[in-house]
Amino acid sequence: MKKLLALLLAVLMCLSLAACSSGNGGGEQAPAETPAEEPAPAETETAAETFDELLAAGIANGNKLTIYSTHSVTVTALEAFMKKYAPEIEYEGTQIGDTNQVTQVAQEVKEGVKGADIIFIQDGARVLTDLVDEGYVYNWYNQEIKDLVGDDCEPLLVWDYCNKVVMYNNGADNTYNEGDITNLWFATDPANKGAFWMKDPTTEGVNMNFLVNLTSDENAAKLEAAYKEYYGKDLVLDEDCPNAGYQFIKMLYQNEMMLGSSDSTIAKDIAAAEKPQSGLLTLNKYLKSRGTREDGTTFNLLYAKDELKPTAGFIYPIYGLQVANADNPELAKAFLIWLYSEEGWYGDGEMTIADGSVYKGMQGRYGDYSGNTANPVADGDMSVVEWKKILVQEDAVQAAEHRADVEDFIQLIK
Amino acid sequence: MPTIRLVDITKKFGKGSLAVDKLNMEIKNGEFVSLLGPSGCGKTTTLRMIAGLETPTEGEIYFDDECVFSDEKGINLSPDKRNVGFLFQNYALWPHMTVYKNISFGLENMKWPKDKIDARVKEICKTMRIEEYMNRYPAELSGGQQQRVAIARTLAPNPKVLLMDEPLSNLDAKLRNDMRAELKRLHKTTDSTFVYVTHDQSEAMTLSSKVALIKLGILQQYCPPLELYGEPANIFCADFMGNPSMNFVDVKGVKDGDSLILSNDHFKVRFTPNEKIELKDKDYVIGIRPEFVKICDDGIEAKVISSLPSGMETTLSLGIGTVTLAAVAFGSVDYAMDSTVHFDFEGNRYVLFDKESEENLTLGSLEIVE
Amino acid sequence: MKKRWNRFKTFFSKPYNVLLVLFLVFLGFLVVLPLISIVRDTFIVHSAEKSRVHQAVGTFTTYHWERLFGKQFSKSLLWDPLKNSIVTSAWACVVSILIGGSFAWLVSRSDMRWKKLLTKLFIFPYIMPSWTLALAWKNFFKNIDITGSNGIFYSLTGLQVPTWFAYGEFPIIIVTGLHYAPFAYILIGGILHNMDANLEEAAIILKTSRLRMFLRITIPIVMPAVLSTIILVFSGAMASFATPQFLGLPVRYFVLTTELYASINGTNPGVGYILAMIMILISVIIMAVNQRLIGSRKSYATVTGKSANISIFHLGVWRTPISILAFIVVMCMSVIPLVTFALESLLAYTGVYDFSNLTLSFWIGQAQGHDTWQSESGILRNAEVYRTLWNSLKLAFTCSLGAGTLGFLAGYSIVRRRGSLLSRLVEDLTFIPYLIPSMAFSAIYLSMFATKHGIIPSLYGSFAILALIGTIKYLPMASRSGVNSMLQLSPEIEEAGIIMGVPWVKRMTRIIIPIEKTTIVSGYLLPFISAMRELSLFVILVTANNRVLTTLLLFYDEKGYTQFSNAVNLLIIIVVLVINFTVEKLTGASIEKGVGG
Repeated sequence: MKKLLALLLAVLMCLSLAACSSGNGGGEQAPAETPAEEPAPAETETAAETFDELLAAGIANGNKLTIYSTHSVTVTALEAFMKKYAPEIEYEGTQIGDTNQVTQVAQEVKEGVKGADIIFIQDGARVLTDLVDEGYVYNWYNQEIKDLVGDDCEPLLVWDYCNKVVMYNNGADNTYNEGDITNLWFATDPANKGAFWMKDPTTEGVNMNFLVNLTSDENAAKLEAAYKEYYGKDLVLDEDCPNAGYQFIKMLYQNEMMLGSSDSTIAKDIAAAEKPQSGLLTLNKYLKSRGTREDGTTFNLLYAKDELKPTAGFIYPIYGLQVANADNPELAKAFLIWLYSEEGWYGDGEMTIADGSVYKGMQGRYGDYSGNTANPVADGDMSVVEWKKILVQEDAVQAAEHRADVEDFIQLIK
Repeated sequence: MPTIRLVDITKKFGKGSLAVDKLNMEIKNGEFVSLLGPSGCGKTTTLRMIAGLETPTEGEIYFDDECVFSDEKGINLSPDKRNVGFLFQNYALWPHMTVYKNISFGLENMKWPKDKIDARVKEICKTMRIEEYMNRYPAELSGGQQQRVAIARTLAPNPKVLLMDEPLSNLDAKLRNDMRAELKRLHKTTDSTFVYVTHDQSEAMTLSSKVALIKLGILQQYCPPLELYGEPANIFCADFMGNPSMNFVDVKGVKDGDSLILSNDHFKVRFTPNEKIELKDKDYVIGIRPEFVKICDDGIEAKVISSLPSGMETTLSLGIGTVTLAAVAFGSVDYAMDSTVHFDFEGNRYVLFDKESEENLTLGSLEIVE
Repeated sequence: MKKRWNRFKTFFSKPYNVLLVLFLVFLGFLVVLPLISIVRDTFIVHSAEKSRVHQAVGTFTTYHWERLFGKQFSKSLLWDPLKNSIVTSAWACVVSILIGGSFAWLVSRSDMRWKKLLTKLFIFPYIMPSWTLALAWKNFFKNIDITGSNGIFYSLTGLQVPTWFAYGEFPIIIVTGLHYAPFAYILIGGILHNMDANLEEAAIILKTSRLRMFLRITIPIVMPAVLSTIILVFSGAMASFATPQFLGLPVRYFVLTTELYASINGTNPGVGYILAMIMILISVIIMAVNQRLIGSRKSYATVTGKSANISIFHLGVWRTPISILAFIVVMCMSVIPLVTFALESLLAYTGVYDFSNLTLSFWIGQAQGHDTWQSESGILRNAEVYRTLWNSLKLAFTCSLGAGTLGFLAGYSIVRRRGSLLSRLVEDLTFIPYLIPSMAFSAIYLSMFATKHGIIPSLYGSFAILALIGTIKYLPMASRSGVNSMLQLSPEIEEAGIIMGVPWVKRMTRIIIPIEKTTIVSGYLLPFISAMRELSLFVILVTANNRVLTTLLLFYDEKGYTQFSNAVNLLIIIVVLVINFTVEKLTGASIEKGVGG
């Protein structure tokens, strides 16, 4: 065992030498190549090809179409699309979470391994720094898309908006009724200690981005105003908190915010709970988590809307992006264009997926809003335009810039 | 000073296998009794039952009049209450304690005062000649030294009964001989009862005052060693004792007055019993100790098959037709292989066994008839 | 020159020398290189770190070291998790040794009832994936005070356990301790079994009280086994990821591994690599201290050689109560978790433990569309499940074949050249993978094999990289059992073959392998089972196309498909148990033999 120690020491020594020498090498190159500039994504040129041309070219190309997506509907949408438009071409759709997807796509493109042709991914901050800046994926849209999506083509093309809003239950004695929660600072209230949930921001990038976005000057100011409203006094910042956003995050964590690993588990748990519980969760879980038990009692879940100040939550995009080493980029692009159509979003009532059932797309889904705002939302849900008014919109650029600061900040207060 | 009495002791392991079968014996105070037999005969089990380490299936054990075990009365005194010492075959020295600690540990249990313990440990170490190793760990000692420590540990509390399970079997020949003498001396000086398990007949012969020979869990013979040697109860006992072992010759017996004419294809002899018993015409086995085959100038002619001189005596293997006899010639003599010699019988220590039951019928003298 | 050539020839004419040299090269590449790679990774900028370091990817930086050891972050990044890791691991040792050790004593030394059944059940937690107990704990103890929905315990008793009981330090200690209790049982039980009963009998004859005997004789003699158990449990607990992740995350209780995971998956992998190095260093220090402590007293069990029959301690009036207690503990460790998985997988709505709420839908039902409570087909009619099951089996089989064979050959050559520098070097090298935390190990393999190296193509996303890392990671177990089995075999047996001119291959296949059959099979069994239930080693290497059951489970869990994740969990356990007991029945090999040697 002493040998082992010696060995390890020796290894360490070699290492530090090797590291130093390579460090020097790197040091010489660094100034030449990488003046660490802030990435300002260049405007993408609107492509000229149309859906029909791309589809024909994709079929002519003949290569397998592979997609990775954080969203399960894209996978079934691919099945429906391929069945109808390119039945002779092989395809594969896989659902992968954003963190793993970033790693996987980066590795695959870097090493020239055949992977996805197109990816659907959230967490704009990491997509920008890890994938777009490195040239592994790129933003692409044509006039057809531009006409439907408008401004949301840049800096990254939005396919789908998702929102996470504050959800809560009635509590045992109807502590809360619809609209009772009116100020986001309630989550920092000692009365709600250990009763506010979210998916761990260190593993759920969009949650982290939201927290980062809260520290922007604009949002911090709103939070500061809301604080006064809630606590009836001016917010006094702690020494380590540069603004109200940081202060909010700090108080949130110190009020024993509970961290979960899955939004839907949290939502179900909150719905079933008898005591007041709340969380910042994807609205998509709202319908699924409600239900009636055999004995007639209901799982009740409420969600905040515009009554909650300064914001009821946040809205973030899932982007549709082209992978640099795609085998069948034409078909991938055609698929992307089709996804914005009403047929792509909801199906036409006839097209079927792999297991033979009818493709329903986003039918009846709360919390998913097409980048094409013309596609209607599910009954009972609000439109993306309305949501955007009351929610913090993910600002990928601001998040990318300040994410490390906020992560470090959380690291210190958690 | 207890007398140990075993009454109908039976020990079964598992369902079928019978280790000890209805054993009855009495070990008197101050005796040195050997439990002897081939491996697996139940001798160690018997010893462990006396110690209380093993629970008999049936029967009773008494130390003097105190019943220490009885299956009927449901008595089973635990080993620590029986006041015995036990010497294990592999010594069972505690590897994490020094020699001193190994010996003092038992005395501490008996709540001896500290100074007395110290004095006793030093005394016993001196007796066993291990004083210089008192602060060593067992792993740092040789086999013989470990053995002495084990003995010292067992003897330290002055047990009145000392049970020993093949304590010499892990030693080399020279050391074993030394230790035998030492044990015998210890028996004298400690004045305790020794019960000694061994599979080595010469060890049992040389050490004990009484030997219990056991075969397959059944006691064959229980008597002083020389009696066991001279008057074995059956062929098994006769064969087990002595080295070289007894010659067994299959013969046909024909009654001739008070004696028997015993014959086979190669020779004919007259057997005269020492005491009068009823004789019949039937098949017998005649047992002849090698030392009673006497090489002389005339008598039965035999060929020397092998000759093994050891200085003090020479062991011969003689062939008479198809019969082979071992013989011992005293003195420093050697015989050429395949040479012809003659032998005769003398004395009255020849044993007549029934061929069928293998039981000892009687002792008597032999005389060559033809 | 001629002389040197001859020496060279003689050296390589011995198969074990050839093997040792091959191992040296092979392990140098697969074990030492990763270590070097870790160190390198602590000095460079990774792509996720661009926004914090503000330098190009791959450039040299001391940022990570400064951040980890700097005033500001060292407490929350390093010292707190380190303290938590040490506290939980140390207490987990205590728990596992108390439970495993007393069970070992009861089984080998007392007349406890139902021994056969209990010993079979007792090793379940070790065969099961490490997080299963954590999941079961969660299933069992969650309640509305803590997580909203009710757990089974609350439904049965109406009692609510406090948060510290359901999440954080306490349950991590208990669950990790229980997971390693079978390990302690196997190691300590092995010594108790081999320990010469005469040592205790000698004490009894000398009028030692039972308690004194236990404290002064039995415990000191099993101490080396206890120490080596402590080492293995402590290292294992330090490296365990899933349990602290499941039970610690909700209350933000971080240990080194979870901090490592957060760093490597987050925006500062460099810090993660330093944490990995620190973990390796700690393990090495523990090993060294252990060697020091045990030193010459290492081989108590064999000092006295022959092990006689063991005397059974009669529990007397306590026999039934103790047996029942042991039964209850074993049920809690081994059976109840399985029951909770089964139950949870049958609930239409989570948290409602009511007969009317039970459904087999998540096992055999059809998918009902995205918006319903069943968005996927039941796992028994789910093609994805079968595909991953097959992939898992294939992977486990490959890893076990690789690690088992290499481990046996390593054991053979190490023992044959015991005492030589080469042999010691190879022995230490085979052990290193045990010390490298799975998470860090896979991160390194990812960076090492993602790129094409000479003749080795990029293995990224391939089955091969999973097989390779599994083989290396489980090599320590297999070579340990290989060394142990070869130590029991006297070299004369092979020498008899050499004298008769039997060639090496034939000696191995006809003499040594048949004799050591059960131990060798055990050496294969352990890697197989470990690979079947492995999560942290594969989680970042698995791509969507070669998912294994455990990562599928994690995927379901993250999606919140509680019933599916419980069903898959049960499926894994059943597959592992069935394979384990089939192999045990057919060959006589067993986990115990693999671990205890």
